[in-house]
Amino acid sequence: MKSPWLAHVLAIFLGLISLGGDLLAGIATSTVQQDGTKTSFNGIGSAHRIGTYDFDFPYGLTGLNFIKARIRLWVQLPEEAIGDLAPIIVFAKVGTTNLEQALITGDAVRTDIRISYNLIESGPGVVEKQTKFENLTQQQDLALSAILASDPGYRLEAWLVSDTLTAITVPATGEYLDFSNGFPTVVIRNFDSTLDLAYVPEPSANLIFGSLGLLLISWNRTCRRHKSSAFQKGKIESCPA
Amino acid sequence: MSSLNRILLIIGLSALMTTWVPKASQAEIIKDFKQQSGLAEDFGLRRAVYLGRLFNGVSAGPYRRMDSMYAVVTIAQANNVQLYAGDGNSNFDSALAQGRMFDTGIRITNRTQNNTEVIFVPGDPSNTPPFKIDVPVGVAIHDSLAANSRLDFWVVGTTNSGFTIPSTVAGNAANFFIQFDRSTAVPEPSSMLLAGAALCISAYRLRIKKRSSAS
Repeated sequence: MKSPWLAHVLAIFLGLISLGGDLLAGIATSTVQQDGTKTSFNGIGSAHRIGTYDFDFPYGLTGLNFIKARIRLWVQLPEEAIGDLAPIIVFAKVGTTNLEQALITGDAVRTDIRISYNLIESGPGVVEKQTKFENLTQQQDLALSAILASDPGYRLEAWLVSDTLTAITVPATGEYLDFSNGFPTVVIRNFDSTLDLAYVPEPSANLIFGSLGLLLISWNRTCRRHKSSAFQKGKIESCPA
Repeated sequence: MSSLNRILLIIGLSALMTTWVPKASQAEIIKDFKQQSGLAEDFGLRRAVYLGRLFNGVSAGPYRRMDSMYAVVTIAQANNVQLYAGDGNSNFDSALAQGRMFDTGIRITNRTQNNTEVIFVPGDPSNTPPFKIDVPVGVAIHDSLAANSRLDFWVVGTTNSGFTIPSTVAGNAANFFIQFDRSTAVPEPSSMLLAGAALCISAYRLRIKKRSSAS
């Protein structure tokens, strides 16, 4: 390589790729109409199917690690839905009818994403909430990958689940009375939800990139040492391209 | 007809006339709406959600009872929940125990269970007659209005039931609406009893007389 500094730049770049996988990370996004289905959960709680999300992975899921997830949804929560009582997001295979059973068999997985009453925006009504990206553990990643892989269209269901609270609503649509014209008019609003999944290449891919970078650096140093030695002996050489 | 039968008949008809012929009866429609509070209580006995306070400053006037009503509520996941009216904007259990809250008789159920809906009870006022309130309840609700110049409204279901009543829907106020037809006329129970008893006795005596004539 005629410009030694270029080798260093390339090596650093490859190193960054291997160490900071976020540089090549992707975010898969899906927005759907909310479902509104509600079932009981654990006898005293409730589970609400937010929606069925579909994602586009043109090259498949091989080599992808899901590291984070976030969700936007319309929901009505009771005031006590904070802290440990805030309901959580569960990912499940499409067509899940018994969520409790699905969590046992691995067809569904709990995440650490909590939808709290205090999460903006808060209030005693049907409000829109957007979480920040929450990390997924390796186990959650594996379960999520399995759930996505089980559907030809890479679809999954997201549920809002509370072990104890029932006064939760995740409606498909919402109506309200409007009196602005002097007489009551019913206005209907459709509710949609967005799920974002952040992913990075698997560690094996990072290893390859990192190794290439180190190889490039060491090769360049050897070449320069050789060049320096040759120069002292009066032989001027350049490092091979 | 014997003289006793005639007397009984006169008593019965007179009682009937005082009961069913209100000579100076008046009626009035009062209506009001407000944003729902959405505040819920559940102390283990029942789940009660406070809708809000309406008819502030409305006086009793010459009226004595609520005859019928329409109710419009924004609600989700409701199955046969009850609408109460009376005096009390907190601690529903206590207000009910103290006889300050009254079951209107209206029951609310969502059309679908996966949407937050505006529910008209008993139906659209343009094509549905109003819900008839039982006389004692109608009198009690109107007495509460007369005493306090306002009425509080609650929706009540079983404890831990999952119905929800929003205060807002996507940033818009979720309102509830109540319309009463109120009347000056109150059917007197004692008159009805007297009328019924007198007419029954008279009819029985006539029947016995006919049988003895036939034999």
